[in-house]
Amino acid sequence: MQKPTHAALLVGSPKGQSSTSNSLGTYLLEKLEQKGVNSEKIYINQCLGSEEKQAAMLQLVDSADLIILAFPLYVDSLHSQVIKTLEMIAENEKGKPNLDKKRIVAMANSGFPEAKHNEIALAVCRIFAKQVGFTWAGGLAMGGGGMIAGRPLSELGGMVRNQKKALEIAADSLAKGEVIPEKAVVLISKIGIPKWMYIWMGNHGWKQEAKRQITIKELYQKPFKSKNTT
Amino acid sequence: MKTLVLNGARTDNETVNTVSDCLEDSLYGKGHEVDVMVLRNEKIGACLGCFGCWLKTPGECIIKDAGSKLPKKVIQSDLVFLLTPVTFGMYSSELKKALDRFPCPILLPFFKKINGEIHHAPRYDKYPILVAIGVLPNLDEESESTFTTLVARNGVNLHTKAISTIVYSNDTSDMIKQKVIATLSKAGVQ
Repeated sequence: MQKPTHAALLVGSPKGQSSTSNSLGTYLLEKLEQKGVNSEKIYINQCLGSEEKQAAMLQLVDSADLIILAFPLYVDSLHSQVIKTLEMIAENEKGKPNLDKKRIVAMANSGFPEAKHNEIALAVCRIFAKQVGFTWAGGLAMGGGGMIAGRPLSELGGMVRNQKKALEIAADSLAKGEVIPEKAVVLISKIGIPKWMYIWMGNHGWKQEAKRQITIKELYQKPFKSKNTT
Repeated sequence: MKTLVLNGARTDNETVNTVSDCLEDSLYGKGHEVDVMVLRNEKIGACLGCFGCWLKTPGECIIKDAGSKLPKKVIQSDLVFLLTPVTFGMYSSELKKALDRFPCPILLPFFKKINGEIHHAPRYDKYPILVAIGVLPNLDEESESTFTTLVARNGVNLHTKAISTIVYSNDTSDMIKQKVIATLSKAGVQ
């Protein structure tokens, strides 16, 4: 198995630097760097606005031998900017030699407590890899993204211990040229607090936030109610 | 019945456009009120994930472009059609840029358990039936099954019935017409 020399992290959240996708991707990248893999990171939302930046993003994918796609779940799948990027990469890589030497990893996260919501998004990335000719090196799915909320994992404590450990295991395998092991897949899916507590905290948090910006009653508004809807 | 058709073809000459024409003919023929949005011709920005549609203007998107009309169009429709080339098993970026813009405004931020899983609670009591027609160049079981599962999951998250159909690029016009008619029948369109 070929060890990677150049990893490229593509952060696919519209929140860019302040996203949970960035937190997870950056932690994985740091661990890969510690194992001697050179790395670069780009934010998809910053690249799609100009042709020059799009070209730079495609060039980065071209030069990398390990591509890491980190993104949030949007309507059961990938955000439009991420699928746009995959469409562009597919077009750009068409007909190029040795595409199977490039390995790709996908990391999906969502605000729901269950990781399984991300399964379709990872399947989409796997199909992308197959159609383009890249080698699929595995996918990681995490629920409970609200626990991270865009903060660096290194600054967070026991609540994200499973996620940190999973990314360390994944980095170890990826740096050796191997696929992400099942142990990492299972660990990252386990949120560090009971599910009921996560749900309570989420619902309570929205109400608290509503009190600061509007009112709880306004939160339930139905601005487009018609004869069809109540 | 009020019907919204979101055409997610990336170019002018795709089978998706043939499906759209066929669908419009059938719907007009049945006396439906049809609103067609050819998404590649619309100025629709990407969802920012800002939650403004929950916390600043509840139920309405704060980005003022053609995408901000979608929550109203969707919630006031009986049927919403999603037409797309199947792209790595999902929707095209053209369709997805529209699809990203309406679920949050028409749902509440709160969590609700459905079939043992957490989803967002509904904002409204009634949602339009979702019908997705995906176009594949040829038989591709993995893409087809991923697409079908995705549409079904969208239905669960949007608290509605969801139907999906696959059309192949080499289907004849007659075959496409038959598939569209069968899909309308599955959606309960008389």
